[in-house]
Amino acid sequence: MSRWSRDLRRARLRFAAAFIAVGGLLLALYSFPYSEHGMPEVGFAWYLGAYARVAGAVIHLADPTLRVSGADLVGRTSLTIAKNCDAMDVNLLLIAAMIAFPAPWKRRLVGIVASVGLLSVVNVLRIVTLYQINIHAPRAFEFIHAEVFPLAMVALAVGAFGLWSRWSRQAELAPGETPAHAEA
Amino acid sequence: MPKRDRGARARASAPASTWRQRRAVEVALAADRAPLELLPRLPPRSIALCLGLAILLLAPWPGYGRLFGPPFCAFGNAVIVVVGAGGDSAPRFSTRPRDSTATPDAGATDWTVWLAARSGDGPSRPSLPLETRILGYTPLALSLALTLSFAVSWRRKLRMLGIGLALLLMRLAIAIALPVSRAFSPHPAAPGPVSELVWYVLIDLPAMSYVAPLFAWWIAFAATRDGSAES
Repeated sequence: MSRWSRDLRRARLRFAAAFIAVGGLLLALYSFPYSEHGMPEVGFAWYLGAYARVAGAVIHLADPTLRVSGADLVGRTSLTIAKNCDAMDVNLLLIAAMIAFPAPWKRRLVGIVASVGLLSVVNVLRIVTLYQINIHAPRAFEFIHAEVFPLAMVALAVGAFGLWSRWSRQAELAPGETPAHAEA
Repeated sequence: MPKRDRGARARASAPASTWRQRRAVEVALAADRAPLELLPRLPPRSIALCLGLAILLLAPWPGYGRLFGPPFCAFGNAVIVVVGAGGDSAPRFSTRPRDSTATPDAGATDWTVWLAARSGDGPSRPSLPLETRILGYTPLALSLALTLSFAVSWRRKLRMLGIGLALLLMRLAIAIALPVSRAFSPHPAAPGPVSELVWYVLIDLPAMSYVAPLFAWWIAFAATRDGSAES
């Protein structure tokens, strides 16, 4: 194996190791079994309630009977926004991948803000869609909720990461920077 | 005339690495930049093939679950025996509930397997249902779709598949051993924060069944190579 191949292989494995370290830390902070009445759980309850209000505002356009109570959406059908309904796991893993990828911090921040914003908007649309599916096709709800949407969210995150990494790489080659760094 | 595999074509067309390429990786990494080849090039054909395979394998075809049940039970039982989870209760998976108290129709699907104690002095418990699709089948199917659609030689595909499946089976072993130990412990106690954290982060998060095969694929991709050609 040439030294070039060895270095590249190490760079790829280093990316994987950094992804595990950062992703593991972020997911551990999110999933930690906090005490039931502690500050973190109170914060989570407030955060999920805010998420429910945002989703409820969109659903209300189509269903004026909808009321939001805490993290519960109650109208023609009812949905509860639970801890994993915020797609935070996908967001955190995407953030971990961007931090693990070798790029300047400025570009990482741009990528994180843009992709978390995109995923949050899509996740609100996911909740709105699930509400409608629960009304019109309740038998399909479980399959779409547990299988189709998680896969779609992960695919979207992978696509966002791919576009961001390509943009980040092209920015390295932009005029004004030394192309020798990337292609020498 | 024998057909040359794709890897052989790639090897034939790819020039040997030059000092310029080697230097590029070193300089890029030293400057905290991505070397050009850090991420693999995925041609649209590979992406389309991957999507097609994923849809084919993950579509809710009837009967898939009944085919997957027996190998899942065999693997689960092997994990229980090797890890010693459940102790004297000797719990085992089966495709049907062992007792009459659990009715197979109560919320069970083609993908349901049943876990029950076979012996021991512990309290008699009904068979516990376990859905195997998202936990076991989906990651393996996605791993298969990702690896088979990747444009490298078949030899490398097989090596990647072996590494990827080994990593995913390790995750599945943890997913089986942790709850079995907890459910059949002779002295039930609250799980420790570490095992609870491992369970939540590695198994319970909804995205993890879809991210785990991607990550396993990446490790397999990084750990293998196609002759002198790097994809």
